[in-house]
Amino acid sequence: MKSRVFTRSNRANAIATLALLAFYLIFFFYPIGKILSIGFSLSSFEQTFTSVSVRKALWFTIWQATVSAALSVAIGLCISSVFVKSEFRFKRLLEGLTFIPFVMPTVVVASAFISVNELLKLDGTPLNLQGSALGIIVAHIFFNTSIVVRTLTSTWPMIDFESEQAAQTLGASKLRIFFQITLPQLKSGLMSAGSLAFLFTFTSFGVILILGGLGKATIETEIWRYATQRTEFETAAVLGIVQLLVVVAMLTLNNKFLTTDSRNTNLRSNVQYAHPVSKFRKSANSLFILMFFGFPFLVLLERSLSTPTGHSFLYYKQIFWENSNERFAIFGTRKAILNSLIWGSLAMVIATVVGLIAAYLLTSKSKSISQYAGVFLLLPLGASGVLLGFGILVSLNTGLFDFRSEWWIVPVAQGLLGVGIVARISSNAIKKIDPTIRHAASTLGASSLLIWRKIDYPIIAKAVIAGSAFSFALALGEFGATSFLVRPQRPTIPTTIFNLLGRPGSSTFGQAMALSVILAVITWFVVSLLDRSGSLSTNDF
Amino acid sequence: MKFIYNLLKITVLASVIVFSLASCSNDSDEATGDQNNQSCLDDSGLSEFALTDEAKNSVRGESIDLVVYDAFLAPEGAFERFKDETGITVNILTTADTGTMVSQAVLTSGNPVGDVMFGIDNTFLCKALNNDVFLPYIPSTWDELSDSLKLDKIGRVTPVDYGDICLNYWKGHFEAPPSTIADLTDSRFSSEFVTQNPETSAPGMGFLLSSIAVFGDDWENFWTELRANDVAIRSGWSEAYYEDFYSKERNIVTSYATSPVAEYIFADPPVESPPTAIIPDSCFRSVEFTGILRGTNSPAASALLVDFLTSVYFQELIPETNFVLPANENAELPEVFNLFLEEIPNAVTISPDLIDTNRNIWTERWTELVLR
Repeated sequence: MKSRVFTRSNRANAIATLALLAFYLIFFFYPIGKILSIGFSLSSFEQTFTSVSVRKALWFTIWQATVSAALSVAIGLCISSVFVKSEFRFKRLLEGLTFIPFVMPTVVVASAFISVNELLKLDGTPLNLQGSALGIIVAHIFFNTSIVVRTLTSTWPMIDFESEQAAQTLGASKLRIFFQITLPQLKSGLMSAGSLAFLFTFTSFGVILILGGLGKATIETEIWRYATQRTEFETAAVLGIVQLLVVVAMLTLNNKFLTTDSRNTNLRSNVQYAHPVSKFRKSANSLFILMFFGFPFLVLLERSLSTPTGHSFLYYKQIFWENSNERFAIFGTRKAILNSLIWGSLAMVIATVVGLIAAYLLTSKSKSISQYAGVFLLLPLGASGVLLGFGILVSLNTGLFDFRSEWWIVPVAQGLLGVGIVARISSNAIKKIDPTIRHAASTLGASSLLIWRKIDYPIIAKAVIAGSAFSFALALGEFGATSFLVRPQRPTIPTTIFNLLGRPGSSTFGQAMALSVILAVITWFVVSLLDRSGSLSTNDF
Repeated sequence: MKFIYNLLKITVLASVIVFSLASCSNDSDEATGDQNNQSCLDDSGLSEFALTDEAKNSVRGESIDLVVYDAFLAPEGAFERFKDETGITVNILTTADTGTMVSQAVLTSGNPVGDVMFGIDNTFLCKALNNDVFLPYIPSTWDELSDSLKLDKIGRVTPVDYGDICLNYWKGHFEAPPSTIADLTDSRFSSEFVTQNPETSAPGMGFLLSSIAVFGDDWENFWTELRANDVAIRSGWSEAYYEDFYSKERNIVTSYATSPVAEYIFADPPVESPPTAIIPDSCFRSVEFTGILRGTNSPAASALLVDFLTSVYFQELIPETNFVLPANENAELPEVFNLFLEEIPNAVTISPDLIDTNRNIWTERWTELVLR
């Protein structure tokens, strides 16, 4: 969609394009390209693919990602249908609950699942979640169902309900209506959410490592193993290339279905649905959400309160009043919370500024360009964290670009993850602005700044807040590239949890659990901010 | 069809960009690691750095970076004191685990991210030495350091601490706890033992190496029997220790010789003596080293830092923060360590060379035997 207003500021446009390109080239494409170049040879490809363990990992990655994504879509579809078609008490709360897992730090979720496994004594049964493909798939569904629910609850209300009703009048069965009328109309939403779910399950790292052990290896954990434990960078780079190609394919798929859909923006309310949701399904849905999404958090909460002398807030007290007992002071838990908030905010600011620039460029360029651009912007989310981190070390080390050990490289790398999302959410909001209003204002002599302030700003502000909050949450629990950078030793919540878990003692463990709960609460708080405004913009990611 | 065409276009475009970016950068520092038959501990021909009094006096005001693995905790006030003494500011840079830290150093050999590294251990040592990561330097404290820990005689790395990886068990759970690691295959200890994957965990690697040191070529049989006796494998120390061992689902775990001491220190409410104990047989000795990273711009300041890290003052601080034991023989242990640390008379070890050549073979074999 072209907007004439912007042709006035062609120069600003060109500068913005250059700035965005430079940001991505310096902090993403150059580092990742340089590290992947180690694998660019026929012999290293040959060597990699003749390895039995690599082939096993490839196969496992593909099938577990397919199964995880398919099940996430199926479960997301069931949940969304109840959310879309009915109103009930605590609906918003439950909607929020389905979304939280997506932004939860992997470390927290994986340890929550391990404790569920322990509590229900699943070890040794066929339902064992630890070290099994089942555990990985269940955790992936836990993480990714939210993407599907979020996409569908925003696209579903827009489909054509009249034909559903017509079919019902003509005597079509529920199932037939669903498969022949409803489902085809949901196709774009399903495809865009499904491809994202596939992308995240395909590249997932923490879950596989913690829940699966290395008995269940995927491409991403093999990259980690070859690059960090075996110092065989060639194999790691070859796998990184393969992974990146799959990621590009998935993002393209996702983008294709997203762009075709964003034209349809008429939100409807008070639609009469062909088949209202039965009371039984409503309760079953709520129960499932509470059990599946709520239970792991409850277990985590319980463990953070459980002390050798009964349940109490002892560990929370130790975290906030650490000086009361000298020997805990070494972990600097309060400082970690503060650091996390500061660093997360910095990453958020970077993601928001760069993302907004990108959003404006996306909306002012032709459709095909914006489609490619959308893919490139999101690429950091799917690239291997180990390789990006290592890439920064070997590329940003000379002359003008000697950035690799600067303190700000960490928030930049974390911000990089959020840019694509901010850009996408914001550009969707911008696209919804009726261009005729802008033209009218421009004809009446309003400056582009005034147009921005009076027309664009109010509409996109909410979308931007949603995007920023999301990038904040991403940075807060980040377990990717920045873990593989060399960075100033500054405790953050995730690193402190890790450090506490790294040494024996009942109180260090309790504190780790309590800090996990605090991290979850901070994330939840930020996400509820996102959800409040996010419900306005449709088809976010 | 159009979609597939677009997909192809994007893929080609992406490859072209990545390719061209990659090829315009030729200043590659990637060391290839020459795998000759010689030992990594042989003299590498790198010339030793000698710290002159003149250099010592010119470093005031310099600022250097100490690269550490993520679990390292700086003793409070230690580096402030170093600054007071020498005028050198130390910034601590964190990476991930030891393996990642060493891989990063290999990748950036000659153009390092920091000036001094702390914490490379004997299992990863040769990877770094084969790639000329360190600048040889014999610190002023050299003669005070335990001779058995000085694996590299030419000072590319200097031992800074050591720790023993030992089996831990809950006191009072067994009438007769296992006394050797061979006992673990006894049916009395069926479903009692949890250990870690050697590829994701340092204690896991230590225990695998213990078994290889003890059983030699028979180590594979030992693991087959362990598997038959229902050993549990976790990816990290904390999962094994906190999930399986703490819940008493499993009462024997691979951990450190200092773990019972930590159990005592961090017990809440306080306890009279540690609730856990170690099995002093076949513990694997892990030695950690420090070294000046070759290519540093501040070799003199770095050398002073290596002196400081191995000095009695610093060495006496690390046991209580990092639960490792000092390499400096003049350093005294804190009181609790003297009370509760069990003696390990005969810790086992394998030469860094042998570990380096066989590591991938052993772990691959282990994965097949135990996990698949």
